[in-house]
Amino acid sequence: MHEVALMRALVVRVLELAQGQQAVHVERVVVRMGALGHGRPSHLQWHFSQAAAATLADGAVLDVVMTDELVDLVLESIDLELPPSPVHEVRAQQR
Amino acid sequence: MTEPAARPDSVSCGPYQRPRIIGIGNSDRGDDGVGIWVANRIASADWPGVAVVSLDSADGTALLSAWQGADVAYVVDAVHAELPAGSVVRMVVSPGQRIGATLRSLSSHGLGLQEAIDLGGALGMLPRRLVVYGVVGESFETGRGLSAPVARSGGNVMRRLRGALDRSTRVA
Repeated sequence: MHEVALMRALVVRVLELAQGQQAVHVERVVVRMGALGHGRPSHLQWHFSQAAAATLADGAVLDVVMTDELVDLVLESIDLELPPSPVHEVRAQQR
Repeated sequence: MTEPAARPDSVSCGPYQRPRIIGIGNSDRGDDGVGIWVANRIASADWPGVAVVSLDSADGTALLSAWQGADVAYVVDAVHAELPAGSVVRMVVSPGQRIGATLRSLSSHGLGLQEAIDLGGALGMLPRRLVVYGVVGESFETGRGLSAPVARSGGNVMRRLRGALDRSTRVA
């Protein structure tokens, strides 16, 4: 259950960041799992794909980088696809 | 296809009709050098079928020469964005289009990537397809190298470029 909650929380954070950039899709998410982390990368990836289904992150790749740091799971970076015509520009043109 | 009037000195390989990979930035300003890092790595690896241009500390006007005559160009640059360092944003650019309200090129020169796109669009000097890969940086101190997350991300951008080139070859 811990992994499920962790991946749901990760997807929520990733979607916040993606929406802040008006992204149309999340391509990739990189996390670091440290000494305090639990679970295997393959399990995390499966739960991530479940949590991300039908969202902007649907189909995104989750890369889990193992580290010796005293951390559980840290979001390192995300790869986003931005729209060909950003929403804010469309709005500006419609005024 | 028209050959460019003036080719940048830093063109590394290949005829201009090939897909062009252009790295822009300042290799002496920490993460601002990620575009140069990527371009130099690809040039060293001698990827077949592409022309690589490295615009280190160059003005944005150099971009116009760098992509002139190209059908497809990929630009790699460091950007500011409200995202973790090392994150990558990819965008297909059209003339007159902004590259994002929260996404700012780190160019320390008078003419940056956005201005070069605007100018290129106005002058009819944009490639048919222009794709920008922006890598979010965190450290831009003079004399520093790439931060760890951005260095890791540089390899990721190379893989994505390789994939894009492979797909375009299959389509062709």
